[in-house]
Amino acid sequence: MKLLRACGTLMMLSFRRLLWSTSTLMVAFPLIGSGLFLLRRRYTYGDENSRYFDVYSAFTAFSEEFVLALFVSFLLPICALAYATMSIGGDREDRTLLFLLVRPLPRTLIVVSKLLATLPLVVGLVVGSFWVYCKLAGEVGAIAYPIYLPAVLYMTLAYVSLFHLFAVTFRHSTIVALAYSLFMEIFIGNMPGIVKRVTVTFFGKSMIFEMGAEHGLPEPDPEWFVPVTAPGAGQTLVAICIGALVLTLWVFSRREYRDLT
Amino acid sequence: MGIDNAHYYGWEGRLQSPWRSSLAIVRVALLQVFRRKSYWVVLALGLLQFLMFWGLIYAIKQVNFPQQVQDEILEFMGFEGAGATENGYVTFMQQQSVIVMILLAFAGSLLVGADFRMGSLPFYLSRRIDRRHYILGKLLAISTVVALMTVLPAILLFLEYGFLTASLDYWVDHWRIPVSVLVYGAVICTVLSILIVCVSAYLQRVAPIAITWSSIFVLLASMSRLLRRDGGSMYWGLVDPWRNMRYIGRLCFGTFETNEELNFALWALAIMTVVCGVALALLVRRVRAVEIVE
Repeated sequence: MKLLRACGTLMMLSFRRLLWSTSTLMVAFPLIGSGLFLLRRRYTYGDENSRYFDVYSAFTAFSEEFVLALFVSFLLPICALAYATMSIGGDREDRTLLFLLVRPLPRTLIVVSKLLATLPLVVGLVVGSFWVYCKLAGEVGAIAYPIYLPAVLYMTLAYVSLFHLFAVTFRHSTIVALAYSLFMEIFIGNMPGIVKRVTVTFFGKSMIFEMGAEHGLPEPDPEWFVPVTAPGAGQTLVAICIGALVLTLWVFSRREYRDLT
Repeated sequence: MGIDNAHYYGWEGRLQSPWRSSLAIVRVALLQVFRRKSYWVVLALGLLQFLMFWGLIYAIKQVNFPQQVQDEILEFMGFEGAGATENGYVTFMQQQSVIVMILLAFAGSLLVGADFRMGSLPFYLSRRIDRRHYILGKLLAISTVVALMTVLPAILLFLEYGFLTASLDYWVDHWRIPVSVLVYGAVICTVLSILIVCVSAYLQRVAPIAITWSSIFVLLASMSRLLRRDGGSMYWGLVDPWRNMRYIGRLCFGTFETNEELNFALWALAIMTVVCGVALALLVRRVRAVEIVE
């Protein structure tokens, strides 16, 4: 019972520290900027001012331009990075991890508490902002929200777990996460063949392409992108999430950190 | 222990200008960066692109393609030929943008943010230098890091190309290329160093710096590209800092096909001048020996 209370306290403390951090303020700028982009771009159809004649073309443009090019490729990893690398990485950076480790708390519970503090923030931010964007997009957004939500959710979980793994493994985890999400994912994701299947984005995009197909989203060029099935992609993302979490627990419980003081 | 027993003694040589201390700040900053393994990892990632271009030039010049095919590839890549619309070396520098952005997020938090967070700024300013020398030193240090990733590899590619030809004609005929690379390099070093030092001085920690920096250089570039699509105004390109820097570089040493492009370049120059001026003013305001408590 005392252990549970200690975990709860750590969770709440971490949650508050992450919520009232500069990262929250800074992550608001790209989110607001994307909202303004949506207002300017307008994915309405049928009237004089719109660029799209029917719902299919508007939905395709919204999916390709906003969901795939901006939200899934940039905003989602950045939201995950803002909190997931800082939950444990912030303590390492501030040299306060030592004070956490000297408390009579098992290391696995420390990681679980940190993860539980991070998840609501990231999931809330990503799903909440996606909901707002879909509202701003109008009718196509109302179609897109329920069908793309599972992909967004699974990708968020995978990124959060992966960035926690980076945080316990690397000293400069934020830079590693940034290099991974903005360089490696894009670099490998643009390579031909099946090498791109090592990236989180591939599976998220596969889900989006399959879910959006029934509403007119065209299939990608098979020379560059051969998607897997949506259930398979979802299962892989969950597997990445669980695998990264298990590795995080294993690394954190065994590693001797020499940079704590 | 008395100060005499500690064998302290006054400096008997001629005192140099405090501006020279900026070079000492650059030296220490570069040592700080090079000591980190993470920097070398990011540098290795940045070298991927360089090695790709290096291999491509080598393959084109060494493999016996038909002459016409070889010329077309070189023209397409922008390395040679009258029909080349883009300077291939400048294109290479532009393609380094993501890795430079990541590297600067790292270098900014390490070289500038840490000075504020750990309280080492008063130690710098307690020496015989003031904030101008500190700021110049940090700007030069960041510029060196940027130049190592962009200007130096581009010049090496130019040299490689010349070495793989039969004479010195390539270097002589294309003397404008290294000059344009240096001019463009000077623009990106100036703009990026001012912006990252300012952002790092205020945000200090690596995560907010990384988020802000990537939003400025990745998100704005994507948005600008999407807004220019389907007959959108080319002036949406002005929200993309990389594009603005490219056009400023062309203003110094390039040609414009239309008047609209020239206007765009002038607007880009005006916007970046204002942005850098504001950033510099904020930076000067931020760099103080003591925190002012109200």
